[in-house]
Amino acid sequence: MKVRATAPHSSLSALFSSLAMARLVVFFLVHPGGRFHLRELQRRTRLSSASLQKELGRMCAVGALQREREGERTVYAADEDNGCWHAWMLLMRAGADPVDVVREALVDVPGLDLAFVFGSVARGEPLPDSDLDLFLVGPPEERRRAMGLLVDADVFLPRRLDVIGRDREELTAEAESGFLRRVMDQPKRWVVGGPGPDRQRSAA
Amino acid sequence: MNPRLRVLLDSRSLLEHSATDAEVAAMWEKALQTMENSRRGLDPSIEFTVAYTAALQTAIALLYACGYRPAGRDHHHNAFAGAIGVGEGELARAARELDQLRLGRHEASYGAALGVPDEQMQAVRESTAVLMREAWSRILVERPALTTVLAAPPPG
Repeated sequence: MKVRATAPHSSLSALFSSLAMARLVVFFLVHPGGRFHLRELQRRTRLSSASLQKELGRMCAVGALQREREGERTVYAADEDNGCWHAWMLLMRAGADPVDVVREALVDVPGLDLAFVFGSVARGEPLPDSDLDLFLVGPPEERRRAMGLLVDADVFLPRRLDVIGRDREELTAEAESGFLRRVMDQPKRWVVGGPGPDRQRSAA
Repeated sequence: MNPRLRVLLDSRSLLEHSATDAEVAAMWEKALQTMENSRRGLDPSIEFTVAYTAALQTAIALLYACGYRPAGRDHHHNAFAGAIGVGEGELARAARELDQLRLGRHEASYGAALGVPDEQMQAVRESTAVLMREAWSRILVERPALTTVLAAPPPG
């Protein structure tokens, strides 16, 4: 699904020239060493073709990405020696809302049913050293895939991650447990799914 | 320098540390001992924790050898992230897998008692063995004086 809608409240919009660029930066950072062709990038980042090509062009122009021919296809790979990657990671650590960064990191996990942040960050009263409490709902293999991406995102997140996960059956079975009831009764910030339109996957 | 390693240093998650060869060897010895302990037919949940601890000690020994140490808070994450930063190939892959297991440890800490799934048990055993094997080689490259001192890790 290609999405053109905007996500005006993402803190990443203020840090990058577009949310699409932020999404690509995060995508390459959570797939270190990855080499991707255009259609694969389009499918996995859910960016429109126009946005994707524009931002890939920008990132190649500054040398952050290398564009190579592989047979009939053009592939893109991060040049980690380029100083932009270091600068972008510092920028996100310094100025991004960690919930926005997690949302972008999980764009490539379409099989997650739900993901939300709870705890002090969601209540809007975090202490400087509060963790980011993330709850993932989905099949075990999708949660594992999410964790694999979050491990790499953890380096440039402004807060340390603390992740809990369940599949739908476990969630139902534990619905009456004290812990789950406390979590469900608390304020949440939705990363994947949640009430309202599916706006969490969108980028310019 | 790997950009992740630079970010960890900039954010003081990783600190420069001039460890002596003796300090590196002592941490490696501790990791080996812990690894041996994990293979003594322990209850799975205990074995998981002990094997994970051996991996953590291995990552710290590797960082010592490379001139770093993990900062106190979040030192588990900092140790594995640092090992990913100084390593490549199999070493970085094993450290990433172990950091992923660290991130998922809380899944079993709340609500119903889920125990340690077999696949997680297998993952911690395999990744710890790979990390030890690869870190041992790398430590000897960084600290050639330890070639005759550091015992090789047990076979995976």
